[in-house]
Amino acid sequence: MKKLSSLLVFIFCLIPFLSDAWILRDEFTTNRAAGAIDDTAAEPTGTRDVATDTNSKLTIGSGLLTFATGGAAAGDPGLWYTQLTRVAGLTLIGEITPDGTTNASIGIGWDANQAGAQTNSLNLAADGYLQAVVNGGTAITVGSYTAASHKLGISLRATGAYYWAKLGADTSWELYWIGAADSGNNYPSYSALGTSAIATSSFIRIPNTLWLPSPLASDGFSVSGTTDGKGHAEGVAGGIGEGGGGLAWQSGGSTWSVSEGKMKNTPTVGATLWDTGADTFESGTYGWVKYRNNTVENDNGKLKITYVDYSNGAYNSLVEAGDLTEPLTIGQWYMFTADMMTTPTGQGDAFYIRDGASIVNLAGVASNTMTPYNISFRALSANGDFAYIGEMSAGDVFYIDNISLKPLTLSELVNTVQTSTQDVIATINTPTLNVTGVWEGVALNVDSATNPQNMVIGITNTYRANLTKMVNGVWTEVISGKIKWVSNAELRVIKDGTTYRVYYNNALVGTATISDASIINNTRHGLFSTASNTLDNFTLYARGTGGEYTVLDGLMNYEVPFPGGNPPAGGLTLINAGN
Amino acid sequence: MRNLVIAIVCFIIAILCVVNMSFAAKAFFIIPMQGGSPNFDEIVKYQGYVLIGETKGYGMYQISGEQKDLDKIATLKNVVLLGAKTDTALKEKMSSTTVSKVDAFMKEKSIPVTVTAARDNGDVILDIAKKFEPLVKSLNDHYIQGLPEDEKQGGNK
Repeated sequence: MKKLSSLLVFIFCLIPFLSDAWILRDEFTTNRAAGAIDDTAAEPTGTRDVATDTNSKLTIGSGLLTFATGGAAAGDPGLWYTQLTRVAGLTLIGEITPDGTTNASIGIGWDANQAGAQTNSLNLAADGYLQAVVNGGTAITVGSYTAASHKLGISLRATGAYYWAKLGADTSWELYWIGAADSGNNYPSYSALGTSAIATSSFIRIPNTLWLPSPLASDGFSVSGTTDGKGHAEGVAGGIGEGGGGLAWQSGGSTWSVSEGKMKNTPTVGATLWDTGADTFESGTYGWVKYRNNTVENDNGKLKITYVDYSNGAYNSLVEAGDLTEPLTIGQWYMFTADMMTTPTGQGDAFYIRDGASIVNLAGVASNTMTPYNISFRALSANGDFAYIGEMSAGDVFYIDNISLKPLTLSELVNTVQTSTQDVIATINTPTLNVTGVWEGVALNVDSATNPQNMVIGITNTYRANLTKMVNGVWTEVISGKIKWVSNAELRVIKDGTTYRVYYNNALVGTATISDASIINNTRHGLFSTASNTLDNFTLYARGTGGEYTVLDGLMNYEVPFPGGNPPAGGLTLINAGN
Repeated sequence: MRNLVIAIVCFIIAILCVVNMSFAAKAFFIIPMQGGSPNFDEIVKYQGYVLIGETKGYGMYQISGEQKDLDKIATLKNVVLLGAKTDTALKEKMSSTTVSKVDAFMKEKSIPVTVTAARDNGDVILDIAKKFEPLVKSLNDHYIQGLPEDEKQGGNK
């Protein structure tokens, strides 16, 4: 079997030597002046179908395609090859050397037409930002580049694409982005990003060999207990790119479950910290204090807050001297629950919990009947936390009753799988319900399945997206940004060495440095959730810093096929691309 | 005719001011840190923040939001404004007012950074950032989104 395997690899290595190993291969062998590139043969394989160059800024010489400054517009100059029928696994790889990083340079990728900006591309954008364009959407910042030679690649999925780069002196191909939109046929292409683009390219190649990466873990949550491999489209369809199934989910409790194809957590709660009597407003208004001239009163066993002159209605300090039985514990996760309603005159009101430093925990209250709301939060202070009603306006009356404040058990909030990879791209589809009181997302670099004390969580409560680290049991908020909630949007965290990036709905929320040795080398990753909102389609891919994608060298370079050895199991299939 | 020209110029300036006001701003601050979060001791508005690094109970932050909100944050007790995160601002010399406040803070906390009006904002802020997080190599190492409608997906390094 071993000999057979070696023979197959050897055969594969020979494939690129064959003249028909490439669907497209342009090494820019013959010099061509500006205006003389359109409709010429790619060398040695393919056709330069359309070269747009109004200001004569695109030339071929000394084995390089050269973009000079002074172009007419984005995509002018630009070069488009013959259209290819989309086949999953079709991989375009090219080299680009920008003149600098100040001005927008050029993009390489796949385009739905032969003009202007590309539909799916990797762009060397202005100010040194490497950006991915997915299906013609807003460019997503995925990294940075320098004025050096870069290898860039995009592998088409049936719908969407994987975006690769081996930047400058990097020794490994890394997965920079995963797109899940566009299923059309595309033109391989180069496109100037602006009128100041200066760059060269020594080649563009598309091998006949089809390949897609296999995830470390993938779960569409069709079964409980283990990953089913169906958190990504290739896992559902089968074939190249499938994988990621069969890993055991592990948590400190038994509160995670699968239902209707989604994962949810129903953590247990401890005893309430809210004083008896104050929780059901037996008499009086207890620790609630009005803002300005608003009014607070006990209305038949409920707290009634009436707007008079300030948008914040009233507050309650979460302290033992107030309505709590004991002080909050710093770093402890809590679940605040209450029945609430409003008589909204506008958008409805909101119930906020200040965690001791910031206002990131809330529930939008729009119901006009008493309705239970849950708000989970982590205390950052033992005595600086408070709850308040906000967003009130003239005519608003707010009611609250049946309050509880209960601690959650951390080990139940984390659910992970064991891998052997530190640097990863973790993605989860966030809930289809806009429930602002629940924090959930992904957990990375977790040190223990049953007693996590070191990890990073990328979470959202549909109002904000946060990245938080825990070092030896101590939490530190690292990134916090407002988001615009979108049903089922992807929350993604990319970890590369000491750099963590958090994205929500294909937009970068923030980038930060986390260098704690107790975190960054851990290879356990998974999910985080404080309550029973649902999560779907978890995927975990290697970033590539460990050489996981050396197969791309084999695909790209006939001189150095597979320097890393065998292609990954299940990730490579030799079939004809049909073009 | 002269008045007409002046009126037109004023109108254009007013339009530019209005347009500029609507854009997200970003700035670097030093703020008391509570569990990683900037602790303002009162309710303030902002879009987002990234913790660049921490030392001696303080965090160095890049904060984004409306300019008026960042202006308010800069006035808060215990908050030290280092400067705006724009190419232009970072290339300017630090104002004497900022130098005075930043230098006093650094000396009080025994954080050895040379803060003088002779240095560019960017150079001083980068030196400070390295004291809060030794891995920092550039002020573009960290990124926080601005207001979504104004965000051009700018950087990270």
